Amino acid sequence: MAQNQDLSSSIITAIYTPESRLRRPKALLYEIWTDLQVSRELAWQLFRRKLSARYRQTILGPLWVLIPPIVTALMATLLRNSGVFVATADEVMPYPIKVMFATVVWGFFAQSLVLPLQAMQESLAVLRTMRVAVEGFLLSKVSEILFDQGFQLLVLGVVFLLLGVPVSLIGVLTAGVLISILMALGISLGFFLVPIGSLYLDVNSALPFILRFWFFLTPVIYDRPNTYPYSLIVDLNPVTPLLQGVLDVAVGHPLQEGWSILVISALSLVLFTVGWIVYRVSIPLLVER
Amino acid sequence: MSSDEVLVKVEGVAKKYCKDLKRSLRYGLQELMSEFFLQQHPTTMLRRHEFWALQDVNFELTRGEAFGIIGVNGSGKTTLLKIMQGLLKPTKGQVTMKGHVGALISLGAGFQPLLTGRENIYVNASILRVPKRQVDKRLNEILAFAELGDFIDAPIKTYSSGMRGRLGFAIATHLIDPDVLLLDEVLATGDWKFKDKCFRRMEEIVSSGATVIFVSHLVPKVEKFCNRAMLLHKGVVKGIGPATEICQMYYDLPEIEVPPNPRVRRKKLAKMLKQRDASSTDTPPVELNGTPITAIDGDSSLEPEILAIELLNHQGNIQDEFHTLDTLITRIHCSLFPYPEKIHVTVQLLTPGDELSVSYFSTEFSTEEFAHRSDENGSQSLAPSDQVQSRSEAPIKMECTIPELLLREGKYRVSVTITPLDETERQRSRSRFTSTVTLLVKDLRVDPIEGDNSMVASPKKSPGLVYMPSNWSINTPIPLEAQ
Repeated sequence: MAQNQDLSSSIITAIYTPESRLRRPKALLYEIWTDLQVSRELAWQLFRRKLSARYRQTILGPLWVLIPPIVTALMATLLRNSGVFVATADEVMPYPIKVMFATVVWGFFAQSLVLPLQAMQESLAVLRTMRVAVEGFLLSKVSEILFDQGFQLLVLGVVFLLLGVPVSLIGVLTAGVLISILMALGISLGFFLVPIGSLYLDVNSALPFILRFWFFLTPVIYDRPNTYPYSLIVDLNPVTPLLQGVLDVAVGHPLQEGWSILVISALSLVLFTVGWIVYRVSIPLLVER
Repeated sequence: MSSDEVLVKVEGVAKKYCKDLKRSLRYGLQELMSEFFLQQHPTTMLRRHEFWALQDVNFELTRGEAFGIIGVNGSGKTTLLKIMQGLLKPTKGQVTMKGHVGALISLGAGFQPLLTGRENIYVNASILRVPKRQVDKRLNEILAFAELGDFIDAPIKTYSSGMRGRLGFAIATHLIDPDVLLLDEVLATGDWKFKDKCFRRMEEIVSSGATVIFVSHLVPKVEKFCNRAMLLHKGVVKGIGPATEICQMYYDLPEIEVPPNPRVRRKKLAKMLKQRDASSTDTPPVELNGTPITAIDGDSSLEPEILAIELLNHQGNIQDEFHTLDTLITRIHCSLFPYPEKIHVTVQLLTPGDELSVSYFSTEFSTEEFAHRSDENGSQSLAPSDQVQSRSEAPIKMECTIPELLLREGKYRVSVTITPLDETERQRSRSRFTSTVTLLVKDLRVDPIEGDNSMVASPKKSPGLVYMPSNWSINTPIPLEAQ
């Protein structure tokens, strides 16, 4: 459906035809741009409504955000002590805290990956009856992730201070940039899941398993393997250098694998742009089914 | 902005849907692929399991028009509105919409049940792209219109569907000043008072220069509110034109065959079998829905019921088409076992959708009198005409005579209700029984012998329900006489 917004006259004109919307890229980009502008307000409202609705029927409230990383850290510690896998002790921070930190950083990626699909499912409920800027739903989901994971990081920061872990300002800022790249990577991969995932719920059911598997392929709770072929799996995993980077720079270690991070960033940028257009273009076809 | 500015242009729009879910998903994936790889839109031929939900719809709307879209369920009305809003892609054709488009396609879309009504106004506003400042400015108008009182600060999940409808309509019609407003069956849940209020608001919007497209099953309301209308039936446009004509076309649509309720059907079947066994022929066969029914024996399981309703002309012949000013005799065959002491009988003339009761006749009589009362030919007398042989068995025949039928051309329903009166109030509502038949009325017969000028029917069908004799005269000023 080509929505052609005529700029010359004061009155907006929208034309809907059966043609592919990619045939009029200018109109499509203009539409995305205008939608983005109004999305901020919508995202803020959606974010607020989500948060206030989420904690309205709970006692623990936002504390629920902290429970998953704590449980993961406890389980990993138990398994490590029973000798299921090897993880060397860290001189900077205790093992459970390191696992918690890594889990929180992993959470940024994992939640970003399912974000576009979830945002689409939420917006489809509205889109079936009214036109709405879908970017608002995306942005509100991004703020949700930032809120949840940010809260976890904040608590971890307090723990770091109490334990005397050396945290530098530059390290924190670099970690922030790396986390943004990690989220962009997750979201751009997630965009491509939307067209199929919105039609077939199989994708929805498979995602938690894929993510769990991916979690174990990422050296979060164990040491990075050095032997082939395990090292190859970890090396090919685009999440590894970013996650390792965050863990390193936050405590003042130098950033390793700068080149892989650069390549991943460029790749994310391309995938993000293409994915966003795929996301937009598929909306009217998904509304119908 | 000129008043003849075209705001909505729908050209040859068609839309197909798939009935099978799995196949529909597969087609969806194919269409997505062709969308990404810039192919022309998939074939406009029907694939397996597909059907046309809309076919070749064309119309144009100018500023300030109120356009009604009517049609039975599943005729494609909502699909059309969704295409006009850009939610769905047309399979063929093109839609051009000018100006801000406001739409209320379903009530309560985008409401978050846990948030209060007030919070939801803000959320909805951001969905509709209305800045917060404008909401603050118009909040009082919305609250006044919705009349929810203190409930505005209660969570939406505690609202009734009527309350949700009030809030939804208030938001859709007060938050934005649309050039084109699309309303889809949004008044279904409101009470009459609120519906009237909504129509007043819609009239305001139209008079402010916006175009309103109104989809509804409240055909009389469409007739009243809209200046033009379109009738859709099974995705095909049956007519576009003045609302009164189109609404009449709606009533003339062939009625959809609704299979009777299985319980009722089973009962009827059991009775028919029993009748065949008894094969008693002491009463003439009467017709009920085309099924011949013979006499009924006095089985204790039988309840009082209406066996048939016949419409007769003044000569006593069964007829299904009448003309204005004809005599209409409604003959009711009913069995009253076990006998109540008294019964109350009403005959009601209704418009097809039961929206309007055109006329109502009722009487009450004691069953003791059956044997003593003789035939009367009063204007609205109900009299059992046949002598009752055995009180427990024979059906009773009652007639209601209307000497001059004052209905205008159209399709009506004659509804007969019999209520036994010797029971307590609560039982009464349960034991009341109703049956209806369709009555077709044609316009006035032109009687060449009587030749009364005032009664000559015009060849064009006249709108309205009731016929009233009228005389016309023209007073021309005659200057000569004045001098």
